[in-house]
Amino acid sequence: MVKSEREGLAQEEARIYLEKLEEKLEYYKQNVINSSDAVIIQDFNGIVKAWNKGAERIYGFTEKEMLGKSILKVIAREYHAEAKKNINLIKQGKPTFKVKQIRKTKDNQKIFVNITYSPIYEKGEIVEIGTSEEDVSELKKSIEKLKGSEEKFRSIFEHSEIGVSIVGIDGKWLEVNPALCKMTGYSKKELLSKGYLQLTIPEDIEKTKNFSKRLINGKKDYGYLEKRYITKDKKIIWVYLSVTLIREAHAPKYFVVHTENITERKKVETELKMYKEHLEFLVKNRTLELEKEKSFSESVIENIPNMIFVKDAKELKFELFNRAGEKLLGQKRENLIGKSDYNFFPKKQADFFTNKDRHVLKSKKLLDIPEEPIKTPRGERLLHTKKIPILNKQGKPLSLLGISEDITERKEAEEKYKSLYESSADAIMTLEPPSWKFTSGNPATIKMFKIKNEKEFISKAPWEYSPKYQPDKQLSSEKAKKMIMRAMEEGSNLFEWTHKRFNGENFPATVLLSRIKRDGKTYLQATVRDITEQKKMEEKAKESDIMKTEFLSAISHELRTPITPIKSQIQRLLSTELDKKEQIDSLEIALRNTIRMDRLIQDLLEISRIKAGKFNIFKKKADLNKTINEAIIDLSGFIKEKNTSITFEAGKIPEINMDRDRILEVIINILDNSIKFGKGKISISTKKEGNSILIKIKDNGIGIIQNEKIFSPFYRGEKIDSQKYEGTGLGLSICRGIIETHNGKIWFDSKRGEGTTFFVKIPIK
Amino acid sequence: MVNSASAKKIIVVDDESDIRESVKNILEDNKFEVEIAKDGKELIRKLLKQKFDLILLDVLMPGLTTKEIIAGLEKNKIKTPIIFLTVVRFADQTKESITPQMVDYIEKPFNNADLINRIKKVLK
Repeated sequence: MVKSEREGLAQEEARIYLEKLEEKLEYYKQNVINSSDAVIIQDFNGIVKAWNKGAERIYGFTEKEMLGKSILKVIAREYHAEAKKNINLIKQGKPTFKVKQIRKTKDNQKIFVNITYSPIYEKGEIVEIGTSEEDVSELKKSIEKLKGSEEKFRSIFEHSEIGVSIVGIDGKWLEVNPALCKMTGYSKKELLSKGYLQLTIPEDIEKTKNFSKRLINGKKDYGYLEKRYITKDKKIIWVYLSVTLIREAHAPKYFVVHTENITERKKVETELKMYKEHLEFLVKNRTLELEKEKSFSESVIENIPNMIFVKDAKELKFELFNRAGEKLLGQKRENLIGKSDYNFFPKKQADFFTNKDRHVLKSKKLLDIPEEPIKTPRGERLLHTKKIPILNKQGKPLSLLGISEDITERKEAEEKYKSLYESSADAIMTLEPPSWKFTSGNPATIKMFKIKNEKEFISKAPWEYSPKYQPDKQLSSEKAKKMIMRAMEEGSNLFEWTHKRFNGENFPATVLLSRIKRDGKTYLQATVRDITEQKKMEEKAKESDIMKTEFLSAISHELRTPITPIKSQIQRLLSTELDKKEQIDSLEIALRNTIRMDRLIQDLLEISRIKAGKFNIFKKKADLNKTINEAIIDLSGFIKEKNTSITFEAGKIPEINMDRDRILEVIINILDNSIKFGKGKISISTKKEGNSILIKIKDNGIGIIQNEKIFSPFYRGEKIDSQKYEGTGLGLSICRGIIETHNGKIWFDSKRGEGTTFFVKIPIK
Repeated sequence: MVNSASAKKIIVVDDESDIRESVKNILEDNKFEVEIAKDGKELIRKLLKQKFDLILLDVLMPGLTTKEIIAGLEKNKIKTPIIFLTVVRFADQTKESITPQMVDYIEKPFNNADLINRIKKVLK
């Protein structure tokens, strides 16, 4: 080849080579411009000659900002030396080689890049250095993605109040947002130089490590963790982490962490917990108190002697019963709960109760039923019942509460007292202080004091119906006040008193003053008993006593009288020389008096038997006229002796029921007296009078002083001319006894000097 | 009956005839001269007629009471001593009749010897 030929070929080759280079360049240009990797051309001084879009993206500097500037701008200081060395290597002709470097972005972020250094030839000489840089800090890629594709995300990321961060598997922060910085108090730079374990409170480090491990090794790619960080100014904050593990082809790449400051919440939670515990404590205490109160009130309800029950408002079925209720109704509460009145009472009674219950619930007012009879197993009882509606908050009736007091006994006592007051034979009166005038009195008072009506003695004081002086000579007004005072002091006073009836009649009484309290005031109740009869009987008894004593004296006297001659004569017979006649006379006196004593004793026995009511008569139908004739015959000797003439007018009388022997005795006795006292003329007559026969025995004797005492034992009458007659003196009293045992009557009529007539009336039957 | 001037004269007053009789017997057995009276009235009548050495007086008699009899004796200035014949304890009955003239009393029924002794004592 000729030189020219050679030159021409070279030119052609050069031209083709350039063409190809330009193509390549164009290709590269296109690629370089669009490559996601950074493609940078720099000269031997490191001045940037070309800067592609990838570089812009990775480093954040625009083409404008970098062209003509030193590449060191994007190289971390530590790598400056190395960078220069690499430039020299290329200059010296080292072929393409790869290095790892740390570059820094516009905003000072450190990124890891793989750099491929390549020489760039022009005309066979290395004129520039080309680098192709791949950001291996995935952050860049993510950020590119994030920044590039989702503005929203970026906005969230930047502006979120929640800390958002990207953390490497090794625990080091790769990216943090402002919120996280604010939360931790550290700057972005500071955080990125730390791992999150450095901020974690020592106690939570284990927890955190385990958590990460679980996520990495586990099946789930997300988790939640509560832990504590220590801020820059040494404050402890509670954070709540929502962690998502990002894998690439199953390999864990990094964590995306949302960090929420829950310190306040935690504080509140703690406070709440404390508060809750405190509340629980309070509630427990209160519950115990309530239990106590409940059991106390339950105990009260259970033990109160009044029946307490609760019915539901809707169906009036029993919901609650206390013990007193069980007792009253004779049923255990298990049998009562759930049932209504209709289960226990006859329909009529149940209707009555139900009506009242409904009324109470409707009117929403308490109903007081002072007296309500109910039938119970113990019989009919009287209750004082109060029915009370129980309303809910809205005022609607919930249930009916009933409280019943069994007033049966109380009522009976009241009735008894009332009945006593009304029917008492004693006067019951009330005296009111301070004047002590009567304020009320029972019917017996009116009767006893013989007043027209209550109004007459109201407001009169006790001494106003008493005589001026009492039997012990005290002034009634003064003594009454004394008696009243004692009753007020001691509670009661029992004493005897003389009262005066309204008709002026005094009467003896016993008075009981009792102090009573009524309606808060103190009164005196006076119970007055008229003891007139009692006094009379006392008198009679006294008299009777005296009479008995006198009787005994008389007996003694009477017996001693015949004993005296008996004793004397027998002594004589024993001690004195007596001739026959004297002896006989003496013995006759003794005998005579012995007989007399015997008679006396017999009469005494008869009298005592009559007095004791042991006197027996044997009644048989007999002819009275015949009996009288017998008596006359018996006494014929005496009649003759006394020269008496007897006329007997035997009337037309039927046979009468009588003890013939006894009646004979009576007739003989009277006749005997008449002959004794008479002056020779006696007339006897019998006559039928109604249901009885009347016998008249009249003498014309000296007469007897009208004195009932002649029928008394031993009485011998006032003898007009001191004549004493033989006889026991018991005769007439025995006669009276006999006649009275026949239910008859014996009496006499006498006129001094004219004679005496004895009357004997005997009932026919 | 003893009719001696030295014999003492006693009057016996009792309303019971057998007692009068018996006392008379006893006194006459013992050589006394005896008169009887059945009541106070008869006593005073006889006392006014005769003088007696002693009165035996029953205190419980119908008619004049013992008190009245004493008064009667006083009135007539009869100072004859009296022995009371009583049937009850002395105190009860004769309290009111106490008089200096009453020199003794004896209860009926009595012991004959006792009666005589008392009388002899009085008449000494």
